[in-house]
Parts: sequence; C-alpha cells; structure tokens
Amino acid sequence: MAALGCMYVVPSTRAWAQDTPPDSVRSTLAGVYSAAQSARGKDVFTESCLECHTTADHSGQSFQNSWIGHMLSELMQYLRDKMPKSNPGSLTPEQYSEVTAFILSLNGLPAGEVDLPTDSLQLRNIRIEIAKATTDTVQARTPHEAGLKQFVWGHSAPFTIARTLP
Amino acid sequence: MTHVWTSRRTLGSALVIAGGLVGAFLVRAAASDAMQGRAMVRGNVPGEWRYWGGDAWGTRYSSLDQINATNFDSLTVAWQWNSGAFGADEYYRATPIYANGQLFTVATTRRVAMALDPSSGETKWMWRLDEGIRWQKAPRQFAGRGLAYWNDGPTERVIVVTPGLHMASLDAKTGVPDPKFGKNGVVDLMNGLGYPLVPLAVDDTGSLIISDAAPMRRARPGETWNEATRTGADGTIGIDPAEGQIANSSPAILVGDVIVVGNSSIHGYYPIRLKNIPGTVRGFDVRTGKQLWKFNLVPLPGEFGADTWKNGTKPGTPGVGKVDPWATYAADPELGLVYIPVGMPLMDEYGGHRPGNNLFGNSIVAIDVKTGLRKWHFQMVHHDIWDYDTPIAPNVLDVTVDGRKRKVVAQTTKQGWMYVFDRVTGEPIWPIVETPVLQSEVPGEVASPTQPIPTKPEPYSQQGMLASDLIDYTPAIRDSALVIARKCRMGPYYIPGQPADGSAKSGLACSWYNPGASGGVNIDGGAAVDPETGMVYVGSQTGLSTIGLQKDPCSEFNYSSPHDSCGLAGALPTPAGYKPRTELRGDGFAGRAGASSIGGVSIVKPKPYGGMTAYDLNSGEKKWWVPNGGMIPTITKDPLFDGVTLPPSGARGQAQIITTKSLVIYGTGRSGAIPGVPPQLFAVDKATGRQVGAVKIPARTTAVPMTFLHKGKQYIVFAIGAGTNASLVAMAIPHRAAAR
Repeated sequence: MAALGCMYVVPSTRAWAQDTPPDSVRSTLAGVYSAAQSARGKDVFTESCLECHTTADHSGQSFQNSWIGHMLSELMQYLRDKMPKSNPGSLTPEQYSEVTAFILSLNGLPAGEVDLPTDSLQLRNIRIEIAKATTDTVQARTPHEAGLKQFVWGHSAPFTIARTLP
Repeated sequence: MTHVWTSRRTLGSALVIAGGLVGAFLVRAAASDAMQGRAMVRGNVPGEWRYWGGDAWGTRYSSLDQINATNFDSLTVAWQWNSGAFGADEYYRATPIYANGQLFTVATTRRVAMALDPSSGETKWMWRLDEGIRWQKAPRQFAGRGLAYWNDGPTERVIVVTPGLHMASLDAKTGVPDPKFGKNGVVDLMNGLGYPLVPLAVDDTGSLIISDAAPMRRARPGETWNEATRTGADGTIGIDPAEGQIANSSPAILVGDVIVVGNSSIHGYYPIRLKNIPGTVRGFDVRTGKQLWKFNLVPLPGEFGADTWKNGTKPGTPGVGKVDPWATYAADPELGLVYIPVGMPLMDEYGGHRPGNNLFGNSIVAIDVKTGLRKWHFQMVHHDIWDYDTPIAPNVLDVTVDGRKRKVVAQTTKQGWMYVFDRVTGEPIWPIVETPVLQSEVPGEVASPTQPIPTKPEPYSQQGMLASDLIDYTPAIRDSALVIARKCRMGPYYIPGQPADGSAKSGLACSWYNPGASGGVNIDGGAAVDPETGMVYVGSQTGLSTIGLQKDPCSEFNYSSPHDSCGLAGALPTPAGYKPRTELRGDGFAGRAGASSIGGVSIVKPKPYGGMTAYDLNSGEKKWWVPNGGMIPTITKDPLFDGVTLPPSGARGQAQIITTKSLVIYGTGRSGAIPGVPPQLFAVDKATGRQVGAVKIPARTTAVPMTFLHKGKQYIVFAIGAGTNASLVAMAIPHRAAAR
C-alpha cells in the first residue's frame, strides 16, 4: 500500500502514514481505544460495512493474516482509502477511527481510557499485536442449542412443543 | 408448559424465550378493515401488505391515502417493537407483512417468526426452530427479509424459511405448525435436491467464516456430541458439507396454492472450494409441503442451457456452483408465472474455472408454477466476473408503449440498468443490444465477447470509467484525476478485473469497477411502482472501486479477489515456503477498492446517479432524480482546488421506497442521508420528486418499509437497528390529524 500511495503524483496523496515507525512503539495490547469509541464503531460497521463484511471475517485468523505486525496507522489509512468499497473515503474521520476501534475490539484487544485519534499519523507508533490466548477465543459465539426442536409461544397460554426431526 | 424433549441438550433457550415473554394473549383474528367487501388486486387485499413486495407483482404500492402530503409531517411513532428479547441479529433487514388483521415478521439470527398486534406492537405469538449446528454454520445467519402468507377462507398460514434451510407452515392465528405440512409442520429443504442427507458435525464453536471457511463436516461413524467442547455430531443431518453449503436469505412467494422457494449459497467473495451446490427453485404444495417440481438453475447435462458451461455441469464439476436465487421474487398469479432473479456462478470476479456463458446465472427466469417449466429467460450478464447477482425481485406492471398495452416485468440490477420485458413472452420492450466489451487479461479467463446493453431506460448508476467522467474544473485538476484514473483499466462498462501482480500485457494491475459489487441496485433498495401511472421509482447507489485478482495460496481457485485463506479451517494446507503477503494488508474486499479521490474529492464528476430515479415505463424515459436524503457539500483543504467552487454530491446509501395513492415514501437505508442529520422518513411528489414531507424517526431504516390500514388507521412500519437493538417502528397520524 505504501508503494501504491507513493505512485500517485498528485498533491493530496502525499500524506501517507506508513513511513518508518518512530522509536517509541506501543502495542494494541495496551488499550489504545475507548470502549465508547468501539461502541460507536459498531454502529458505523453496521451502517456501512456489514453488507459485505461479517465480523468473523475481521477477527481471528483472517485478521491476523493481514494485519499482525503492521502499524495501526496502516489499517486506518487503508480503511480511509479503500472503504466503503462502493464509495471509498466517504465516512467522516471520526467514523474511520471508530470503526478501527471496533475492529480492534472484535479481536479481543483491550479498551483503554481514551479514543483513538482521527489522524492516522498519530497511530504510527502503535503496532498491531494480539495475545495468543485471545486469538483462540474470538471466533467463539454463544453456545447454541442442538437438535431440531420447535418452540411455539402464544395461543391461549405459553407452551412449547419440541421434537427431533425427522 | 409442556415439554417433550428427545434431545440431550438443555431447555435453556426455550425457557429464556418463554420467560422473556410475560403474560398470555387470547389470539383472535380481527376482521380486517380492508377485507370488507374488497376484491383481491395483484394477489393482495387493498389496504393490506400480503407479500414482501406489497403484492404478488412486487409493486410496493398501496392505494391508501390517509397519510398524504398535507399531514405527512405530523406522523408520530405509534409503537416500537424490539426483537432483542428473542436474540440478536445482524442489521434488521425484514419487511413485515400484514394480512387479515395481523402483522407478521421474522427476527434475530435464528429467524424467529412472529405475529404482532398491528395497533400496539404487542407480540401475539412466536415460533422458532432450533436447527443445531445447521444453524451454527448457516451461510446466511440473519433474520431474513420476511415471510409469506396464504389463506383459503378461514385457514391461514404463514410460511417461513429458516437460515438452516427448513420451511415451516404455521397457523397464522396461533403460530402452531400445521401438522399436515411436511413432518410436524416442517419441510427439510435439504431434502429433494438429489443429495443424500448425512449426520453432521463441527470442530469449532464459531460460525462459517465468510464464503466457505470453517465449515461443518460429515460426522464420523458413531461420533457424538461433546458438551464440554461443544463440538462433534449433535444429531443434525443435512447435505454433506463436502458438496457445499446452501442456505436461505429471502422469503418464499405464494402463487395460488404453490409455495415457490429457492436457496442462497455461500458468499462468492473468496471461496476455497471449486465447487458448491447449484441453485434451484422449487414448488411445494402449501397444504402438504409436498415438493411439486424443481428447476435447476445450473442445467443438468442434457437440459436446456447446459451447453453454456463448456466444462459441463455434472454436480461436483470444478467451477460449478452457486447460481442461487437468493433474492426476493415476484409473480403474476393470473398468468401463473413466477419471476426469479438469479445470482451469479461461483467466485465473484474470476470465471476461468467455468468457461461459457453459465446459464441461468445473472438471468431473470419466468417459471410456470404449475409445471415448474421455464417459460422464458433472459441472461443480463454473460459469464459474470463482476459479482453482478440479480439482487432483488423484479417489478410487474401494465403500461402502454407506442399505443399498445403491454404486460411487462422490469428487472433492476446491480449493474445499473433496468431491463424491461414482455412478461408473457420475455421479449424486450426496448431493444437490448449485444455489444462488444473489453476482454480479460487474466490468465485462464475468457470473458464474454459481448454483453446485452439496454437501449432504454437509461442507467441509474455511473457506468465504467472514461476520461469524460473525470473532474475537470481546471486543467490541473483534470490532469491529476487522469493520473489516478490511468492507474487502472478504463472503459465504458463491464471492465474485466486485472491480475494484481502487473503481469498483464497492458501492465495495469487493476480495473475500475463501476457500479461495484454493491450496485447499483441491491437487496436493501430496489424499485417501487405506481401501477396507476406506469412510473417506476428506483433506489440505488453509485460508487467506484477497483478489481485486482491474485492467487489465494490456500484456495483451489487460480485467482480470486485478494485474500489469504491460509490457516483458516477448511483451507488448503499452507504451501511450503509460505509467507503472508504483506502487500495484501486488509485483503478481501479492500483489494477491490482503490484510492479514487484527491483530497477527499472523488475523481468522478458528480452526476444525478444513485439516490432515487423515476422512470415512466410507458415511454422508457427518465423523468426525475433526487438524492437519497439530500446533497452533501464537497469540502477539501487540498490546494489543488483553491478558487474552485465544488458541486455537492448525492448522499450515499440505498433509498428504501414504497408508493401510495399520492406519495413516494422512502427511508434512506443504513448508510444513507447526510452525516450528522437526524434520521428521517421522506415523502416526495410522484410526478416531480419534490419533497413534500419529512419526519424524524428513531434511527435510519434498515429495510424497505410497508404500509397498511388497521381499524381505520394507516400505519407505516419499517425496521431499524442491529444486534439486540433491532426494532420495528410503526408510524401513524395522531387521531386528531387523521380526521379529514
């Protein structure tokens, strides 16, 4: 992506964030976004991302294949340049940082006290890292019930019928 | 409460559901106001909304006029029903139906069926099927878009198709499954497709990852359920997952006494396996659940159209799969025809494994509901490599063209064109011309030499990318835009994807993709009709992205959208020497998009595309266009634009439209409207598009609204929200304002 950005010889494409990271590097394990920001990001994800992307596609191995070891600035800049795919760059700076926070939360990364900044340049010193124990569980969902049972509620009183089919 | 449990699992979910609902209701079907002495029109009782699309024709039209331009702004929330007590959803994409005094909907990822009191939103009954691991691994795990209704005198049924591909027939008054239908009210739709059903098992507790990663598998002999790990075989049966995964995402449609139902498939974004189960449309007897017929959307060897698959169509053939009728349907009950919009073949952007035109992919197919035989079809995209599924029910209407009365069906599409046909014969109303198109530079890919381009109506979304489409406010701006535009392959439409490694003869590593995979029209939007005038109102979006294709090292496909499946359950073994491709960062869909703006300003000129476009189908002419909730100012700090007054652009998202006697009413959809402006429901004049009303609503609409008359009051109901905060909202005119 860095190469792609550099190829564009137009004034607005000069502000790329993936230069050499500064010396003082933090980790996404250190709580780099706030829970409130992630919650807002979930709404943005629902409004603008969910049509094509499931949360499963952005967590666990799928996320790790693409982003582990990269700087968070790259992720946010990528979202800004490429997403939503039907109209890249059309979200507000706040929305891009919110959805970045949500993606971090999807991967079990801890929330901290402050929001991620909206300026991706300020994320150059945050490396995307994931605790192993966390990555093993992020795909898990609430356990489901098994067997083909029908539940009906209503009529003259609540009732349930259940059976295994066929 | 009576329980008959034959499963080893707990009662947990049932108790939660029942416990979450306090009180009992005596269910009595209220006599519908609209039923009083009024005949059926287009399969619907005027004033009701018996189909997902309002009526069998899919008009989304209601002749009601209690809510009109004079009082629209006084609409208030009559009630709001939250589905969170029953579980979570993705975003809530259901449009309810109203029939004979009751409102019916589906909700939650388990697609619970509900009856609500139309006056208060109180829950009258609910039904849910626990599908075990068939639900856990269902490709379309959300509430679905709705359900279907049928009645024969006092016998009323609600038909729901579940994420795990079961179809239930429920007593509309009680929610109790019809014991005469299938087995205990349920038909297993994995039966009857020609595949044996086998015991199923899972190795993890998660859902299917997008496309076909982390699937179920066939259970080993004697395998049982491990409650501690929640893996193993839970007693569920289904088609062997090695054959592929299928599901359902849209409701069935009733045509007479025949339930017409299809299936959806996995997403074709970046599948791992070269085959999947081909799509089918089937007819079932509404009284018994007996399968009456099956229409193969990938023709079997010897069937019409099989020769459009050069490598053959025998099930299991590499490259064969999908072609799924995943969207909603429309029908003409008098003609006995159902109109099926068909999705694309397997793998969205690479078709090298399936040479040929690939019928009936990307077609509209008219099927005789009595015989299940094809009456006519039209393929709108040959050999699709753009993810141009036919994404929504067509609209049926009667118009007068050149002085001749015509029965037509109009199909809106992702690719930004509306295709209009004589719905009896399939003859195009206006010529649709096979036109030479660009050819692929991807090894192994043979694009169709031509694509059918409608001469009328004109498109509603930007087509392709030409130099003339670029912003040119100053020579410097134009030059800068051209530098970006020339990074990817340009053309008028149907531009094939490029190999992302730059190995193509042209040296280009991407191609412009416009409309993109989201359309154009997509399932969230689509068109509504005024059957009185022959006007069609299309909600669509317009946008720009790119396609570049790469080899996924752990997929069977030679090319795909940039993606790395290595390490995912179900992927091919990681090849020796594998290293993650750092250049793929973000992969998946991100690989389809490219920087297409300068300082936040799109390089494409703003045009009257997307939003809502009105067409007169008597003439085929575009009549007016309005943005989806307003125009967004274009603001940039880039010095390139110093001294230039930039025009605004239309808001994003897909307008969700219905029509009434005097209004076009729409919500902006999840991502529509102007950022920062409170969510609203809009009304515009049908003839001009002029806004005549707007009212604040609790959140943006997430599905197409519907309207009905109940006990003398007209309601507009629409879905909002996601997760456990998904709701139906009913709007109505307060009593004083309603008196006219």
